[in-house]
Amino acid sequence: MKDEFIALINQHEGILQKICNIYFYRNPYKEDYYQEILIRLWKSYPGFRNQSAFSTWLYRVAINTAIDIVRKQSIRPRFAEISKFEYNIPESESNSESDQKDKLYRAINQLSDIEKAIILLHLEEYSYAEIGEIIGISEGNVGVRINRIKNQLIKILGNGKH
Amino acid sequence: MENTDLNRMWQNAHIQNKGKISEGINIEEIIKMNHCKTISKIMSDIKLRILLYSVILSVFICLMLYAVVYLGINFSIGSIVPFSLVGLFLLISTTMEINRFIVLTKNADNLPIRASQNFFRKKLNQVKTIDFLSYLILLYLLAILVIRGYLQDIGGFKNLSGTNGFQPIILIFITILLLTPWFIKYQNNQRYRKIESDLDDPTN
Repeated sequence: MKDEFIALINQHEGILQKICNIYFYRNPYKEDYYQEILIRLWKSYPGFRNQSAFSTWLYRVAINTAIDIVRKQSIRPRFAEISKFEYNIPESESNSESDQKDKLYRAINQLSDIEKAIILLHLEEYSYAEIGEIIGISEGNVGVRINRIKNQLIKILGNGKH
Repeated sequence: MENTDLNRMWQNAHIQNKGKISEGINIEEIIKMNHCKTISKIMSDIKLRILLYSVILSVFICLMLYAVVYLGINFSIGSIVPFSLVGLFLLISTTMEINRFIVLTKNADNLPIRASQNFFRKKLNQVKTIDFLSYLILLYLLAILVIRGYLQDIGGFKNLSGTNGFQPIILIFITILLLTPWFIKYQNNQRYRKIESDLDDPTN
């Protein structure tokens, strides 16, 4: 089972990368949280019964874990000691492609946890039905929310607020 | 800017796939762990605080029982007040840490995201309600006992007077007891405000 899991994770590694970028963009603990998502995926793997595609299950568990980590961070004691990671300033990437990526992620960062999940799945070209299945809302609802989120993002990006 | 630009931006952003997090990560080693370093640190900090407060609270209770039951010391109402305040502080600190731990360990990863959030919301509300009700019952009961003890000490209602110097202290203490459950409720609301605002998101 372990080998099968590792092979599947290696195959879908890009999904985890994107989820980490969406929820922990420029977070000094991003690599650590990536590991936490892997651990939780492994713990939940026995519950995966091939009823849906592996990627659908992966998105569901990984996004739930990412949201849970965000929650854990917000319950964390207020005066928690600052670790060595937090002193490190992230490396700046100066080319225009990175600037665009930075702008986009900073704009997405202003969305709520669920909105982030919806826009991620939409940008990854998942159908409304699949997004609905992962998020747990109706197809009609997905369409309405995607339009709202897109408008919000376009407004943020257009105004240069990031 | 149009919708298509957003999709194009997203695609362009991931063409090169620079800075892969997974580079140098050994999945087999990682899945042997219970949590990653940061989360382990948060959890062990809370566990340590629960242990510390519980030990101090237990020692405090044992000492009080030893003094009252074994040594037979009859505390006056004047000495009960500071002791009760210390006990109250320890009790609140312990239960708050336990609640924090319960909230942090609740999750339902396999459920759809909205169902998982609803599950968490229910658990959070449960913790908050149990917390509030147990303080309400405990502290109101304690307030009644203090009032009863004080009235017995001074020989009944008829002896209540404004000139008794100790009376304001008792009044303040009882007010603290009566207000504490509401203060705890307010504290909990403040603590979980960020989480609740996310759970109340219009997309839910």
